[in-house]
Amino acid sequence: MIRVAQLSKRYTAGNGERRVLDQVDLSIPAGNSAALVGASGAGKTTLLNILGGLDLDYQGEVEVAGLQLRGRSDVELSGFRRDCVGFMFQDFHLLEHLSALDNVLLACRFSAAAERRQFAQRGRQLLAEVGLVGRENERPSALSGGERQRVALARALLRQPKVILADEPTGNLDPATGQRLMELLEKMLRDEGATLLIATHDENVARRTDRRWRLERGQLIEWVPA
Amino acid sequence: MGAGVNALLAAIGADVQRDRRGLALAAVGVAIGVAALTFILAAGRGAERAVVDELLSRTPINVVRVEPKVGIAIGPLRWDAGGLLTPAVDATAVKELERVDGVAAVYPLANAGFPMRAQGGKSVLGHDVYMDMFAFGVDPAFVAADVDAAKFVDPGAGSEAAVPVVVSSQLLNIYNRTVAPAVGAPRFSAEAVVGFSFDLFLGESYTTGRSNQRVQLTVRVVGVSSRVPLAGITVPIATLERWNRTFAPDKKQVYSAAYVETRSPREVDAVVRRADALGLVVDESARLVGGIIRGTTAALSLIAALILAVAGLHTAQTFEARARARRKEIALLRALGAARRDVLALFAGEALLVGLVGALCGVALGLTGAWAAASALRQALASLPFAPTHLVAIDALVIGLPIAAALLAALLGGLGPARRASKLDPAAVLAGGHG
Repeated sequence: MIRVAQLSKRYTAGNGERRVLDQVDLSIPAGNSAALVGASGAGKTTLLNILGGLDLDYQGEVEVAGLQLRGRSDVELSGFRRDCVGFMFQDFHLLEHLSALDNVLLACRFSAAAERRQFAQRGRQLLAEVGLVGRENERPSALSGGERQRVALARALLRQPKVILADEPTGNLDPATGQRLMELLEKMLRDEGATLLIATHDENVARRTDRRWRLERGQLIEWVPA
Repeated sequence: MGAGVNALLAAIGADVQRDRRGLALAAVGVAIGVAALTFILAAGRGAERAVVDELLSRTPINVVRVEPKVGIAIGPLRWDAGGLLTPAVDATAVKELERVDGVAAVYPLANAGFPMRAQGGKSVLGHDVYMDMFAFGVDPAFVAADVDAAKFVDPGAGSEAAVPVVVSSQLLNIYNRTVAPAVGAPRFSAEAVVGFSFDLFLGESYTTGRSNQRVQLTVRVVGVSSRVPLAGITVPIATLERWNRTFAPDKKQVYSAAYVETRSPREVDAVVRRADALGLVVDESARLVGGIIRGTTAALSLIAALILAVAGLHTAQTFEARARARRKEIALLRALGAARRDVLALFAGEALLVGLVGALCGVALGLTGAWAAASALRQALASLPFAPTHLVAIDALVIGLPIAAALLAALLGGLGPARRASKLDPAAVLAGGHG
């Protein structure tokens, strides 16, 4: 579950101040999916960063997966990101020097050996589920854009997060590949029971979610596709 | 992520596997510094042992003569050239000197507080010699290396036995080289003078006349030593103190000097400093030995500090570059749940590992170099009569100091980049900014 109340965020640029989020209210029930659409720079990524506990400089209340994020220590927020949130990025952000499987396992880099072994098994299983069976040891450079984003999806799901925050996950993919990725994401979400918030330019992607908002001049407006 | 030690080691191990060349290069830089430090320490301490323990130990350089400043005595105090009242060498000063670390023993040198004269020599010179005499008293243990301790003991008041005396080997040398040839007298070896006896008149002098008390007794030479004063005779200190109580009862017992024997010449500097603090003076050779040892230690410390700084800078540069190259990885790790302290521990752990590997390799390299240099030097010096046996020294300091220095340098060098890496703003870096 995601709940946001009176969330405001300002950036200082030169002598002026820009309000990217202005007293935003938002609520997404657990297990639901939602989409944020809006122009570039509208504040979609900023909102996702706040919800993921990466950006702490805001006003208002933010509760994600039952945790109030304000006033938490770095260790608490790190634990929250590790255990409760799965991130997907537009640029995939896979590390070139690691294999597909090691990229998936990044979130348990500092885990004990037994836990790592356990997650390695799940990582292989997830890679198989996203259609990358036998490609675990490939470096990202040997994978296509769609395959890389599927690795990123497996990484986001590794620790069975309660919330997935996806920032333009199909932005660098051709429409057909993007479509396939969304089908895969929906299937995995059904299996895992996670809440999804997706920031996208693509109205076709947004149409597939349970709820949709447009972010415009710092305000969230319910968006109903034509 | 609150990583445990095992998990952290596994993460460090994974990084090492991935970037073996980069980390090896960093370790090479540390190893070179450590090798240089090890070489200098091994060779320097070897040379120190060769000079201090082997060469200097053949001379009585670990015996420091401590005496009052030259001046006018007023009771136990003296008026020195600087115009200050300065303390004498008395029982308190002796106790203070005994407390200095490394001091094996303190031997006060007492002098007679009354006049005396000597008469005798007919049996060996053919005629008697008459002269005023100076007498000193020392602990028999101080001359035990030269004189049979069983023979150099106070005979006690009222004893008929001859009083044992020791004469200076330098005095005998001067007599043999200058006096004997000038007056046509025979020369004597150290063994030949032992057993020679003459009369001593306490409380009587050719220059100052008689005192109220006068005692005649016989003294017998029981040994020759380089440790006793040049002018006069030296008796057991118990004998001299007994005489002083009889012939100079109003004078407080102070000593003309004290001989401080240290366990090795290394401790001489501490004695010099303590004597300075007590307002006493020491002979310049002792000050020189102290200065040499202090200077060597200071030079080694300076070299160690410089190498530590260079190794630290090298590690800092390496890890700064690594942190820059790994910004995206660090940001990603943070976004995926690594806490700042995990990143800090990862970088600091890698720096320590580099320091440890560099230190071990460096110590091995430095010792090998020192051994090689020592064998070459030993061959070159083989024909010298006093070729030192210690050319390199390997002890806890030679191995421990470079390792500790390397670990400290690596940690100090790696900590700054580690802290900066842990403070990266993951959102900004992943968005393509600088974080």
